[in-house]
Amino acid sequence: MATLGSTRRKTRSIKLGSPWQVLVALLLVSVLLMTFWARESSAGSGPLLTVRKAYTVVTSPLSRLGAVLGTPFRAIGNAVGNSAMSGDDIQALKDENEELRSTVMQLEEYRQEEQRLAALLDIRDAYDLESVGARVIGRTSDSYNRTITLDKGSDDGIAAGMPVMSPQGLIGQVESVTSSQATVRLLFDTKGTVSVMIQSSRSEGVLHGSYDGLLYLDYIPITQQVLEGDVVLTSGSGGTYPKGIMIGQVVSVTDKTNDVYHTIVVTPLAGDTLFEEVLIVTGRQTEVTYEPKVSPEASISPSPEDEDAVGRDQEMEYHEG
Amino acid sequence: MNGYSKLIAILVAVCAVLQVMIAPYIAISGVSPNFMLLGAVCAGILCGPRRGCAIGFLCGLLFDLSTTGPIGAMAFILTVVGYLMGVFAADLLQQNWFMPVFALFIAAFVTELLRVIVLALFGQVAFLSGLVHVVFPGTLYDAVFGFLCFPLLRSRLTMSTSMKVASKSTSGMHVKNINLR
Repeated sequence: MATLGSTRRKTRSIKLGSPWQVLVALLLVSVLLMTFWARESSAGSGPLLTVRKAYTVVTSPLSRLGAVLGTPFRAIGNAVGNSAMSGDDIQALKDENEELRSTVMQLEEYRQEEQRLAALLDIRDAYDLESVGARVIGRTSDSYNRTITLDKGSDDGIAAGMPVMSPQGLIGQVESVTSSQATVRLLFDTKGTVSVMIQSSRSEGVLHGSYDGLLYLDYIPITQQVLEGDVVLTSGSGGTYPKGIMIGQVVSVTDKTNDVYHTIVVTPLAGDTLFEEVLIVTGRQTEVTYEPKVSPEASISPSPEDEDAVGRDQEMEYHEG
Repeated sequence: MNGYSKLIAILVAVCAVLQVMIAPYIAISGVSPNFMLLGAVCAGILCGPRRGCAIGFLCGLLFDLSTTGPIGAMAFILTVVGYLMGVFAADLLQQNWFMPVFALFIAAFVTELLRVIVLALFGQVAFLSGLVHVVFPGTLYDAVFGFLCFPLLRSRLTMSTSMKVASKSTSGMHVKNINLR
């Protein structure tokens, strides 16, 4: 109710009622709002929710501005919050961090193992070999012997004399077996010999290891042309290794006066990699066909004139026999 | 609109802007300050119980619109707070510094406690968990900001009280409403 003063001083005021009346009225309005909100929230829509959305839209520029301005304060808040953390919480976070580090390292190990195993599968598929996978569980520490021990033995069908391959190529031969293990003599070993041939010239010779860690290819007549980069394959002679398994490449050819044979050094494709997983060839194939995964555009049929090019390009299809 | 009303309007607007723009980003362990509470407290102290509860209602409503909680909950609470501050705090501010600070602390605690009760009744929070993780730290946070506003409130209230006394003695008349409160 408005009252006007008739005195010399005008006082103008709008009487809102007593404070108690205003308080009770506003509390009732609040309760009504809460009731309407409860109904609207269960229904999912209503005028109050619409007003809230409109308020949110109107204030969103302020909120975005606050996000920018509040960045340094957020950091302070985080620092204060972190400083208030109990010692137990901090220790729990440290323990979890250590555990996660360990898990990450383990997962990295699994990832690398998966890559190696996938490469093994690729080489097995490429040669279409009957084979058994095995893990290297031991290596010789003897300077005179280059051998590795595998976790498969006679119980798994492994026998002495079986070739052993890595994803890159031939690495050696099973020398002896027990029921659960096999010892493989590597190509690098001086006692190991492999009948091989040069892919381009089809010249056959014998590959053997040496104490200096190199592979030497013997008995290639000096009249046969041998070039650096020539691919060396198993020849199949002697029946030990199937014919056509890649071993390495020629890295040097030395000829001395009055020599009958070339002095040829071969680098193995497998190199001196520390293998962790290998394939033991169990099949009785006498010959293999190497069919690596290539794109259709890259595969071509080799012609006699292009044998050198074919021999150097290992991504091309090669059929023998 | 006279100067006093303009001041209150600016106060409410500033509090609303701070609540939307700043409060979410200065949270400590998830607890944000309640600037609308400060607006209601200041309005109650400066304007008295009647206008205090009305402005408290408005502040609470703006707070509710800026959150996802029940609309009307904070309006209800700050209506009560604005009224109570209007009734009691004006006298408290005349005394030493401890009582006003204590009054602000109590206002903050009552606000946070009533809010967690309302939210628990609506099933939005667990009461005990809210009590421990929000009410107590929120009370401290609000009280800190309220304490920072205390000198300004005291100076404004002192000025308004002086003007009221001076106008009475000058006119010789009983002027019910000089309209500074």
